[in-house]
Amino acid sequence: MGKKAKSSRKGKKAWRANISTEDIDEYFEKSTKDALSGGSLTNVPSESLFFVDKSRDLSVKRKIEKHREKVLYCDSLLQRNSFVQPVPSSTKKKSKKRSKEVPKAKDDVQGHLKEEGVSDSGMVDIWDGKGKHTGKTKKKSKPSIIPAVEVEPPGCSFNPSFESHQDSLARAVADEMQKIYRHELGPEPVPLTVPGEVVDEEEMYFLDADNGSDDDDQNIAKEDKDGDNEHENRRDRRKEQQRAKAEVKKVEQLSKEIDSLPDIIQEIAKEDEEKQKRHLRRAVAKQERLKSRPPRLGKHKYEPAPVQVLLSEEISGSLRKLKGCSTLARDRFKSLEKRGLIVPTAKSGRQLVVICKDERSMEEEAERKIGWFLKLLFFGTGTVVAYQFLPYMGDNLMQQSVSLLHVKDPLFKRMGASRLTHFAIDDERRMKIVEMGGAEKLLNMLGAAEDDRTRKEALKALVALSPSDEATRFLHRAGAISVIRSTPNSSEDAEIEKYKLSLLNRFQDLRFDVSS
Amino acid sequence: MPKHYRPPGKKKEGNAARYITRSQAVKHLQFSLSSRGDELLLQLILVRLCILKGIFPREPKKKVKGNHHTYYHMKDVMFLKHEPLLEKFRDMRAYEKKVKKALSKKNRDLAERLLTRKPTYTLDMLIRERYPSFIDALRDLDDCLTMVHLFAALPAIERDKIDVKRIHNCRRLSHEWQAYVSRTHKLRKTFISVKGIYYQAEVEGQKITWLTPHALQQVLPDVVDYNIMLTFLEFYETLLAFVNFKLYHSINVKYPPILDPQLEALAADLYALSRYLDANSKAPALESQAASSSGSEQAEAQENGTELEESELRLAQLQHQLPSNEPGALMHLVEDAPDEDEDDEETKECKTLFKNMKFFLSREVPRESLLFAIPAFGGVVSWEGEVSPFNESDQSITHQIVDRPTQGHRFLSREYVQPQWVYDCVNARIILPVEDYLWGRVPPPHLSPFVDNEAEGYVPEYAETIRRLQAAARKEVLPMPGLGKEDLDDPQNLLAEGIISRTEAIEAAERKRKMSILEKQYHDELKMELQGVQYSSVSNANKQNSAEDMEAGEKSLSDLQQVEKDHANIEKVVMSRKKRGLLEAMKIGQEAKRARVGLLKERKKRIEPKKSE
Repeated sequence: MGKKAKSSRKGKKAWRANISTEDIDEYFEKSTKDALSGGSLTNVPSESLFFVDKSRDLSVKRKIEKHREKVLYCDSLLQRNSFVQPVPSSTKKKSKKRSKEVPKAKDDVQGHLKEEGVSDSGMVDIWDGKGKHTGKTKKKSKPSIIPAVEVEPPGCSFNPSFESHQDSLARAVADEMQKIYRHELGPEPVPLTVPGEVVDEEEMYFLDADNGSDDDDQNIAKEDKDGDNEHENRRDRRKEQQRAKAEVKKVEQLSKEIDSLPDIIQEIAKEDEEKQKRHLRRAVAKQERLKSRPPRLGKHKYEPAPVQVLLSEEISGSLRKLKGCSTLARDRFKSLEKRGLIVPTAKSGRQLVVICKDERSMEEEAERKIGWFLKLLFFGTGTVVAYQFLPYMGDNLMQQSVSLLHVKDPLFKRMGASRLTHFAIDDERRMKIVEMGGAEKLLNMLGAAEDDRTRKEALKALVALSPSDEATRFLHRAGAISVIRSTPNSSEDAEIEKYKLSLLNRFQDLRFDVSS
Repeated sequence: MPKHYRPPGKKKEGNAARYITRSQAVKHLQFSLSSRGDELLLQLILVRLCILKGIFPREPKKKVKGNHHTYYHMKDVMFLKHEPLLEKFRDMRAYEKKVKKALSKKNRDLAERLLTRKPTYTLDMLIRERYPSFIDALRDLDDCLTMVHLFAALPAIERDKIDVKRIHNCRRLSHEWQAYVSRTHKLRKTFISVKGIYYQAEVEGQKITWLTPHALQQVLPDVVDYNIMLTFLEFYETLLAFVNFKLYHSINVKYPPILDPQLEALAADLYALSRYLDANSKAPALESQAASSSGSEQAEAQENGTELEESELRLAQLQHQLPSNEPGALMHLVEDAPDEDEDDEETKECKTLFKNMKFFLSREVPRESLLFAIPAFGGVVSWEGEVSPFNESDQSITHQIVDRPTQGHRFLSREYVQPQWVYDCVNARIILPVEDYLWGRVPPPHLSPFVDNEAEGYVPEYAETIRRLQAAARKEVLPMPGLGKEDLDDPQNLLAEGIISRTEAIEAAERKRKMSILEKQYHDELKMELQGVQYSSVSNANKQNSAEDMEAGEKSLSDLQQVEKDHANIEKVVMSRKKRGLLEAMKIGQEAKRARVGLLKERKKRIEPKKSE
């Protein structure tokens, strides 16, 4: 309500109209307003005026939360890394909590100890089921199905029964011999230097260029260019004829196949069966393999330790005289490797190399190990036993024995010779040995031998060969007589002389010139 | 360039993501945070942690990084990453650096002070984690026991970090275990091989096999990585200590046993332990006695329950002061007392095998092993030595174990047998006749009890003899099992009764048949013996007899087998493809085994005539 314009007050001093009625007007206005809106608000109790808004104001909340969640980047870096210790001030609450927990745990342990009366040792029964194990217990699968402690076969007993001992022995021999053969018959290592002429740089270019392939390309291109129309037409016709022929053939083939449908079905069935069988075989083989050795875990292969078995002459039946194995540490280590708990290393697989360093000691050791094997062949049943005992070696046993003569080591030479002695039981086999080159090698061995034992073995093998006329003739041609003559007699071993004499007699029987 | 090109930034999947190589794992575990370089050390830490946690490398189907790497599963590596021990290892390395620094600064005092409070770690939690229950731990005890027994016999070598202390600890642990097994008569089988002596015990239903070395000087071959072995040993020592603790508490004995120092000094640990066990497990029994009749002196001593420990000590000392032949008697007293009702059938059998027998060990026999084995089967044993319970001249000794070609002075009241006799008796569970095992003779072969002759199909000669003896021994004590003769004799009847248990019935019939053959054989032999017939002819006659029996059995069984065959065929048709495959694989294996047995028999046949020649 605006102010009224000031009018003249002349003569109107007492005019009531000039009295201000502002407050009254205000009051009226207010009251009318109130009346219109329904009562004055000042008299109304505040409960009816205000209320708590319980419906969520989502947007606001989200905003607040978001701000609360926000972590500075530097803090987040620390949080992410579990190895960084938290700043102490920020984790006051937590540490308090922990400190409360620890004494409780201690109490638990101490109380437990008191109960058991073992406070002096500080040991607790961890399987009493009281203090619940907090970490989740993961069921771990065993890395291998091989038992931790494998019991040896009965043949490895300190006083074994004869058959089981033979069985174990045969296995040990087979392992040993396999090793030897692999060493001997395996592919030769790639030579470090190759003999040959040096190739010049200029020549090398020529060598490269001498392929001649681009010449042909040029020729074809020339022909294409030169070919005239007639030529082309003829070729087209021929092509068409060929195509028609092929189509006819195809149809024929198809009809033939349809005719032979049952056969095909049978074939497919057979193939399927074969496939299944192969799968089965593979599965079985894999199971077997897992039983005897671990999966390949690293660079090196697992090499099993040799079987610990007594030699025949070492069996005394007395526990006192037993030559027990003193390398159980290696056995345990191998067991760990075998179960796949640790990765085989080059060191643990490298036994052969270590032994090879000292040839003399190797011979002794091998002889100790294989001595009974030789004995078996000397006194035993010869080929039959050898075939039976050494099933892993295949049929070319003779060939292998001959190749044993190659070896530089006298022990193996002797072994080869003695085996040849036992193979040579009839003329056919004797000739076979000669054909394989055994006779020559025996002579070489005899000539190069340095000790009596080797000479004796070689002579013995030669004597075994001599009953065959053919073989003796061959020996004569190979110059056996001079070699035999030049063999020195041994003072200790009378047998050498005996063999020599019998050989020379044999030559004389066949009327060869012995005196030369 | 790899075969399958993966654009940079794209996630890896398959084997490439699931497996990482060893060096990657080392990086992943952030060993190299603190020190760069010396890869070897870091790898050692990884290997160590893996061994302790029981995590081992695996062979992925596809080796993404190449064939010559060692792979770990990603999950395993993550599992290692959250191991508190990792942190501990880091702390220790940091601490070592401190010491090294102090030393190189010639600050001797500081170094010594630091060394006194070196941080250490314990493996208790790991054992709890790897073996959530006691049975789990027992199940995995084979390797643990073998390793601990091995190290107990190794020489201490400075260069390989094999401590004297650890070896002594191993010795103690192994003796504690043996004492428990011996005391509770849990030993089941023994086998002496060239490698060492195998034992098998049955604890809480778990068969535990372990190998102990012979009492010889052990050599340390250089192909063995002793760091790895020692890490394994560390874990196993802790495990065995906890297992021993639990076992000792289960028979009411305080765990870290207090041993007689004199016995300990003379390296008779096992005996000391067994005495301790006897004394200790007797104490509760005495206490209960005291409660019922409070009259004896010992009861008074026992009544102050608060000083239990002291009284036990005194008891042990008292026992020691007793005259030399007394402890044996004391041991004997204790034998009958404890928990008779808890034992199962087998334990009872084992307990009474060497009952009422007194053994004396000569100098030349393996003492440790026999001291373990004989008491485990209820015998009383002594040996030549200062602190032994009784002397060689004791008249009550029944068996003296000797292993020498000639025996000078001999007592007529006792048998002189070779040690093998004890082991063979233990395996056969009967007292074998001593004639074959007398001193100076070559004893019969020592057979492996771990071979199941039935399954193998091949029975050595001596095993057959033992079996006959066993049957004879059983005959004396109890009647033959399987009294319901009518049921078993007539398989047809059985078939009619219940087709469900067909296989069982067949097995029973088979067993019955075998048993009857054996029985018959035995009776026949007895008869022949009475008539004074030579053994060789007996065996021939027997063979014929048994062959006839076999035929008869075959006939009666033939139709039954037909039914069985049909049933198997039907089952085979019903089976899934995979199962069928497995079955066939099994059959192939059995076939191979049979072939092997045939070969063995044939070989033997061939050898026999040669021998006789």
